[in-house]
Amino acid sequence: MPENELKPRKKKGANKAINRTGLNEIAENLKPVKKKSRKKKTVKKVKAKSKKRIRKVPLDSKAFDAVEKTLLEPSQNITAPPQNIISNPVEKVIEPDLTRNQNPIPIINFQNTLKTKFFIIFSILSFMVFLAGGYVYPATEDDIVKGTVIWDDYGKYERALFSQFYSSIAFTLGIFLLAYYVTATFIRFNIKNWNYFALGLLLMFFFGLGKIGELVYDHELFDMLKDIILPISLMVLAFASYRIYKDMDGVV
Amino acid sequence: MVFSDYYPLLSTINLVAAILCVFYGKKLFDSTKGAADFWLFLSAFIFSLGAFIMFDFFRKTFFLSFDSPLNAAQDLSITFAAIFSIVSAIYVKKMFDELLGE
Repeated sequence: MPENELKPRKKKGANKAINRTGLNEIAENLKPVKKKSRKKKTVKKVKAKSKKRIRKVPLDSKAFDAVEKTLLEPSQNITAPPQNIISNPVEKVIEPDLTRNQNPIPIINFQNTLKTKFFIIFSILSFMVFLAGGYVYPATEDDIVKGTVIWDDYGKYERALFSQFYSSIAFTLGIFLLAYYVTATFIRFNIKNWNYFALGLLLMFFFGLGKIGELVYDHELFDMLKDIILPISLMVLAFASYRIYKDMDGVV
Repeated sequence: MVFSDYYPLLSTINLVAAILCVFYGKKLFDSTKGAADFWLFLSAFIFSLGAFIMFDFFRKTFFLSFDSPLNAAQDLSITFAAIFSIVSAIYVKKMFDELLGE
């Protein structure tokens, strides 16, 4: 019989031997077979384990913050229902403080997170189109002779145009970062009229790309693109700032 | 007609739009009273963008002989716009983190 084989020895220090070999689970399974005098020892062990469990989960840990957030805003986390989180009896003891960390911002929708992703995908696509445009329309002989691109016939570079080139790269990156955070915060939290502002910033990002392209690729084509986009983006930004101001005027 | 003939017209449109941007940017800054750093740097970004457009307008319409210095001024203003946009991007995240209590 296998059950008889797994019975603990009656010698002293048998439990220590089991612990050393890492057979705690087997020892727990054998609880009903043990004598009354040894039951006390097993009870003590269970208590020690429960204490350890409580120590492992501190009050201010991120896990309980997550529980609090899901309880405050159940629609935020669609994949993790709150029933599963409070199923553990150890977690039931610590109740979340509903008065702390109350969120003044409206609930995040899944569609709004999609908007942020849409912005990133759209800007990456535009960057790829910009690179492809540069490949299809490289700098012409005329551009090189006129000195409208950053190098000339002899492979020499003009310093002033280089400073323009670097400032254009910095501007484009800065605009991208600002537009990303505006999209990731204002629009994600459904705050009014910031869609226009983000659109204006996206157009300004295109302007930055056009400004880089003007100095590297076919001058006239990218120059035209840049000059057409700039007034449109400025008008959108002006309209957006007007709407935001009007919206904030009564509040602040 | 070449596209470059429209440059003065386009730069005038840019100037008007930029003035409107700066006007409402200043109103936004005044209404928030610079409470959050985000508004300060966003207004600075809009102002430097306005300076860039202003230099562009002067370069393409009046001071054609001062092409190089105005180009340099435009480079400087666009660099400042880049810096302010990065800083305001950092502050917008910080502002929302503070609001959410994270």
